[in-house]
Amino acid sequence: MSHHSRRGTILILVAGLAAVLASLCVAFLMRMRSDAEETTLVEREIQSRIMLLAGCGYVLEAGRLGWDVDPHADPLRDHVEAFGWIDIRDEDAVGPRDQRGDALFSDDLVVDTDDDGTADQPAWPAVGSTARCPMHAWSRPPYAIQPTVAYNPIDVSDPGSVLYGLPLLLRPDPQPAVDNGWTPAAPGAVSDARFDEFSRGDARPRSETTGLAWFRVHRESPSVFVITTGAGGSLGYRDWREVTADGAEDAFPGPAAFAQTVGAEARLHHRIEWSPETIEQTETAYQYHLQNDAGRGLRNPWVDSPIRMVTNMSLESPGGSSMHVAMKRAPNHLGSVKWVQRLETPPARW
Amino acid sequence: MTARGAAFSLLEVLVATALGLMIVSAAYVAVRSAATAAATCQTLATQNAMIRAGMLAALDEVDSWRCYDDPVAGRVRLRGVDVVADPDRALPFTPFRDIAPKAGWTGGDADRGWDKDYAWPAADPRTWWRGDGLENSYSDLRFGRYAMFSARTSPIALPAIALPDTYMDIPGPGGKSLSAWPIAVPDYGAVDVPHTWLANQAAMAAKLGFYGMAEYLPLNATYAWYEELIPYAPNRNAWQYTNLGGIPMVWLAGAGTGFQLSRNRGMPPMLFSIEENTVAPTPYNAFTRTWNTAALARAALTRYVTGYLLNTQLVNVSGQNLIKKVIDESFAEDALLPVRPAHWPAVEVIVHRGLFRRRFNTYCRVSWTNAVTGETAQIDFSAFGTSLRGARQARGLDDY
Repeated sequence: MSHHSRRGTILILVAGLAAVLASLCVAFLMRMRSDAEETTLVEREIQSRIMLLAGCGYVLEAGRLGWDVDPHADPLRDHVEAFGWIDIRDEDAVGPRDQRGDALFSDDLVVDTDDDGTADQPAWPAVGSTARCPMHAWSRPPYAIQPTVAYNPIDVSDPGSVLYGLPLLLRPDPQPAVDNGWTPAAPGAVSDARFDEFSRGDARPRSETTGLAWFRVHRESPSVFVITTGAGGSLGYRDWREVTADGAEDAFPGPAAFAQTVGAEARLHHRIEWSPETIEQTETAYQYHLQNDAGRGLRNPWVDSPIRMVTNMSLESPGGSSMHVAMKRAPNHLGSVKWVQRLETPPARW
Repeated sequence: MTARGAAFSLLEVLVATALGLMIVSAAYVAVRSAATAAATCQTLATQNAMIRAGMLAALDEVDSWRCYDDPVAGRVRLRGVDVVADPDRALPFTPFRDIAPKAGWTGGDADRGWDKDYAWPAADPRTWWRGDGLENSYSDLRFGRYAMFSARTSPIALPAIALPDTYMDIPGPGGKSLSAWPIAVPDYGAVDVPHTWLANQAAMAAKLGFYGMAEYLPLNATYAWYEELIPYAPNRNAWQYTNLGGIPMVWLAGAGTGFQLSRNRGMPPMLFSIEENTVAPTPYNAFTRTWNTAALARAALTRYVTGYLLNTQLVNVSGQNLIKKVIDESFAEDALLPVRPAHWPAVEVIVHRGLFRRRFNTYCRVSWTNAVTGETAQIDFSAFGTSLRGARQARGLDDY
């Protein structure tokens, strides 16, 4: 055996060993990649379900709020609000309607969903219409305040100071995210010049929140809605035809990429029904200290009480009894969702 | 010299052998490490895959309700009716057509049965509860007889009531009187009741059990209605007699059993009354799988003690048994892949649906145990998805 052949043996051994390690590394990386991809699917399923909550919240709020087209225009005029998807003042009136009972929607057909050249769907929020809601965050929401925890920290730096240890309101709390010119040195410099900017917010999407999730709401009947939720970058467009109809081609590299994006999304369909009812707050009174019967000296909680608490009471323990119901304990002031039903297959319209 | 030069010296052999051994050892260690790493990686990957499968299984159950009613597997025991009970009791998945025949459906007060397409508009007068919200278990009818405005039947007999002062103090009627004060009310005769729809809707929904009732009635519904007076008699349960006004005692306190458990809340209840208790549908699990319709119907009318009232009892066996009871009877537990390779982790999925502190909650837990290390971990979360009514509609149980 020559020296050359011995060197060759070592080379073969090392090369084989390296190949084994390399193949293991590749297998490891492939497994990790596949793990990550499968985890992404679960994440999208969960994200899509979070959008179901957002969609329900949108339905609840849109039946009452959001119809004041420009709430900042004239503070003295009437601000438009609505009275539910079925007007709570008139059982036959499809809502939302304003204070005067005028509809805040039109049944005119203005959307061509099947691309046949004829409009076949009204605009949101009429029955039969669809709202598309990509769920990015605004750069700054309306009326945003600074993310400051303590504007007036208690001064413990100098025991000799007259301010030492005192909880004082020396600075306004809270303060707007849009600078209003106020400083401790020159509090008189405060100005409302940028109030409009403060009140309107900044609607530009925060880049890290775009393309993550969306929901769509299709109004099937006055009170029944199909909520389609998705986690992915399609912005909630149903198909490429809808993208082109909306003139949003620039948002995607092209139809093929859009189709690929849609294919990777988790899309769920749920049917829900809205109800104007909220959890009743009128706790039955059981202040049995008020039910003393003079002739008996008894406190009896089981007979008819003359007291019932008002809906917006905030008193926690009147008279020492254990009455403790207040509005804060039922956060559904805009109505409620009667039921939720998962749809295994997409409905005809969504 | 030539032949000698071609051979190995002892030193060369020793060095070559040592080098060879080092290389082989290094190769062995490297391959072994790589193999161990690969095995660990594979174990973790399998565990992650099982956790993902568990998460998806839990989310699937959130929408499918298969742990409660699985028609594909032929497990539909929650669709029965306990006809032996008095009054007969249904279950959370009992079709409405089996317990409430359709009649009318013209939009009037005479409509009967469950119209799933009716939206219950707030402005529709037939959806308004008419009664005395202050009328209590031991009402002396000081505010009047409200059964004349709304009741399950029309006409309704409102006979004279003349009761002496037989107040026996709390708790319970003690077989003496339903009133705390002397009462003398004249005979009203047979009264035509203008509103009967809501009372019948509530009574129909109540047949599904407390959880089903809370799902089907609006959130601000009053869980009570008027019937003809049925006086107390020994051995009558809370469904079988009324207060003097005609409200079934199950909705009022003092009957010992029923919806109202707190002695301080004797008036017609609402959703918020479910404060310190949990009501829950019964899943198919190891504890309940042998239950018959009667046992399931009893569970549908059970309020499990789960609130702060339990705090003082947790330290003793009684309190711990209460917790065990609610877990046994309302938590659906499924082992994922009960038959699997020994080195795969054991994954368990738990789903619990309940109504606690006036909130509907679907609680999920995915837990896993590493088959090698025995390490256990879990993910707990609340999910939002198909409600009981949604699950029933998907199965056509609200259709006629």
